[in-house]
Amino acid sequence: MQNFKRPIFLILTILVSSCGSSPNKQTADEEPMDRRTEIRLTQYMVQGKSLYQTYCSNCHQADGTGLAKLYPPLAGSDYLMADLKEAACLIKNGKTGEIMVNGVSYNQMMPANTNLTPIEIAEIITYISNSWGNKAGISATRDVTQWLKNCEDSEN
Amino acid sequence: MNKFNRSFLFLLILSACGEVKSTYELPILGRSEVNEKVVNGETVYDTTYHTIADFQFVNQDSNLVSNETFSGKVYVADFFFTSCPTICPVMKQQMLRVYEAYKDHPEVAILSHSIDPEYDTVALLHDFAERLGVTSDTWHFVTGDKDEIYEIGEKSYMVVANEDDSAPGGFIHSGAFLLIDQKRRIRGVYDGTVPEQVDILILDIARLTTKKTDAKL
Repeated sequence: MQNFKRPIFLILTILVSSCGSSPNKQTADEEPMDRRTEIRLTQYMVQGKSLYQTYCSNCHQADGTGLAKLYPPLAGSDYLMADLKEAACLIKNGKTGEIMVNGVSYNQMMPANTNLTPIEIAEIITYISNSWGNKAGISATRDVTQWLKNCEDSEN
Repeated sequence: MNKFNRSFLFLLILSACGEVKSTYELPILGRSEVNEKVVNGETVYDTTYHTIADFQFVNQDSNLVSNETFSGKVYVADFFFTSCPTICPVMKQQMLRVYEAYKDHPEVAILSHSIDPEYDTVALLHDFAERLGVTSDTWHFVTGDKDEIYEIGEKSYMVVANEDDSAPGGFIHSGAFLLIDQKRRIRGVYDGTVPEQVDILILDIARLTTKKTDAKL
């Protein structure tokens, strides 16, 4: 087992160090992230990006800017960043009705993604809340699982 | 559009610095019939091309839209529905590029058919167009009788448009953009989800119009 772990750790270290501009850089006034969390964040970001491209980017675009007044932006979105718990429910169950994002009204149905698992939703949330200038840190699977249980219209 | 055409076009762009040469003729697509006739003792051949059938739908401003609406115009047609979660948003983003390039050109229009006309009412299409930031002077979003829309899709534009419960959103449809000329003939088919194909469409539109344009990609 010991022999196993070392190469994996090495690979992960390379992965982390090669993503110099990834959003897990710490500023002086923040609590430094421990190594494990840092590696986990990178894993979440990589998986999250891939899932985002499959499930989200058609509407919200690869760069998170949305489309005109039809699909709201995620980049710099006050709506998203204000409540990631709500975002988890929204990804899982979809949403209809009007919402305000950065002062602009949007009213396009968002489809549900009931096939996504809690870990996948955690990875997507981590990706969208730590990309394009957004910076919220990791949304752990444990937390997201709890958030999803608390969704109003959840079947769980 | 095959590879040869594409590389040919690419060469043209390179050599002409973005100017579209009028010497290249777009093909006329679809099944055509050649009729043999004898006129004044001489045998002549008359070709009948595939054309878009008569249609009548209602657009986002409650105005009737028919073949007459596009008289003397080149137009780009596609099929979509507003609640579509898959390829439509990508198609609309790309069609927006066509719109931006030609919105002030009097000979160019866009016709987007809803394949979910029961849900996509005039009011909903109006809201959709407004949020996309486009006007019906150039871009018509139409709704109407569902069977008529499916039929014209299949028989005239030769694309797939149908209900399918197993597809995300409940409908299955092609992501094609079709370029129709002033004589109702199909002159090009482009994948509306691929930006490079839409680049070619934007250049091809200019080949069919008489008024020169400074449309940019």
